[in-house]
Amino acid sequence: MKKYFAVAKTLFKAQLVYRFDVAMTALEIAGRVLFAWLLWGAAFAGRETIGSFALPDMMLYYVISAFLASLDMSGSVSREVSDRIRGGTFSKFMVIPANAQWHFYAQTMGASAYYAIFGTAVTLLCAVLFRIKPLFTANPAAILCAVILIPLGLTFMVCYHYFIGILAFKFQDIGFFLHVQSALLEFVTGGVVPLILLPGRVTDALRFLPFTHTVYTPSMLLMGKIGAAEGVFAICVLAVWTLAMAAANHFVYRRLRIKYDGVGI
Amino acid sequence: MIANLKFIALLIKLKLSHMMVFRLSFFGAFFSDAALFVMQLAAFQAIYGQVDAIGGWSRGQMLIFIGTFSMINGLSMLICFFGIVNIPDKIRGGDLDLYLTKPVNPLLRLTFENINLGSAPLLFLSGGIVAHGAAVEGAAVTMPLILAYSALTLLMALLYYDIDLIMRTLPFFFIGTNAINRMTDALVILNFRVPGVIYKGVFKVLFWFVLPYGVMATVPTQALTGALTPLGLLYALGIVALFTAFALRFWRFGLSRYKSASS
Repeated sequence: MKKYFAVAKTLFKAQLVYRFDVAMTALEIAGRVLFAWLLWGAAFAGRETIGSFALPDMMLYYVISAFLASLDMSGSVSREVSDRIRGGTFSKFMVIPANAQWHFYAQTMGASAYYAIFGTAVTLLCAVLFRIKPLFTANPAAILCAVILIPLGLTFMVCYHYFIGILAFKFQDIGFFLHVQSALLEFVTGGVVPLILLPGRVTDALRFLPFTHTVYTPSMLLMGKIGAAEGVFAICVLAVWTLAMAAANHFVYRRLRIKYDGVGI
Repeated sequence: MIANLKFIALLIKLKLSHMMVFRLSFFGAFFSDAALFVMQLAAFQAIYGQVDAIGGWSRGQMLIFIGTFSMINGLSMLICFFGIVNIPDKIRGGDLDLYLTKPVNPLLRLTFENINLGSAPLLFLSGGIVAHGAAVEGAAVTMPLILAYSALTLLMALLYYDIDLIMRTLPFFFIGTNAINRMTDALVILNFRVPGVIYKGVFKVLFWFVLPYGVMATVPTQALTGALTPLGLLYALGIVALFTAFALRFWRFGLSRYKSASS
């Protein structure tokens, strides 16, 4: 545990080098809020509510969801793992006395903690600039569910991206998977539109998928748009998916690592 | 001119040979972009399930807008994107030397050396979305209108290329290639989701003049739905001419500042 904490601490400090990446991530939060302000400002013209959302609710949803999405640094895991496998430098993770999956988990958490500082600052700035009222729920159970879901969601996303990354043991080029899944992920996590606007059957199906509970569900819980019961259901779904994905990673890694012919092997 | 065409044909042949090696990646750009546009359609479908119009635009107009943006993006992916996207890395790494020492226009080679035929199906998908949008809108589509729409879309693809080239030329002046790619992507995605008619005030100046992404899919959509004014058409033609001239001059100016790997 101590060694993974050290990895997280190192990656936290390493982010000081990537100042422009930090600035761009912060700008992406602002970009999402700007998108919401422009598009929904036009859509709400002459309307009080759209799908149980008033304009201030909608803006608050985008501020929270943009912040939560900015915390997820797991996208780089699949790229780094696949690049290292193809480049032959994944050997490092095979010889050090640490589990590769948890190494990448610690790495991502360290980076996310650093980005969270700037993400919080930009989120607050956006809230002031766009005059967004912090209409959060007063239900402690719903807040607790959201607080549990956020790190659990980040854990799942790391496991998921690690899985995509280790597919490079088997496939020569996984750039194709990376591009397709990134477009789908933004939508199914609720980053483009609140999923409540989708047809009922679609949202019912999405409830059983893990991605919905990484951004959309915590945002809705914090806004008081869904109750703690839905939060508990989301925690159960996400926990099952995370365990299944971690187990799948363990199995796939053991099966595919023998195909690796990297540097020093 | 004929020599240039022969050269482009040779580049396509070389590229096709290269793509045969990575068969899964052949349609990679198509699937990744198609996924993006399908998700965009789903998002607007969800919004139009609740409202009748956004910024005065109906569902049909929005479908044409998405299809047109997809078409412009598809043309870029097919012809030039994968060539000019690497310009910042080539400047930084000094690889541009290889292009400057060859007896052919370096920009011509960079533009056409990575033609991606795997993106061609995106044009058909986009055409399908536009046709569906026109049907939903009930637009009286005639052959002259289709020709005018096609010409405007090609011009907007040229504008897309111009802006892309300007952004990828910036590393001649400062380091920060990753930053430029991320910034360009962020701007394209924002404008892909927000039709140009919605912009007001400072955003209208920014996205209709400074970085005219807002003009690109909006003007052809207006043309197809009969909402384009003569002044709007003149503005669009002017902005394309202005940006094309500026992009080429900016590229030449950048080249004059290039510190090659061998000097």
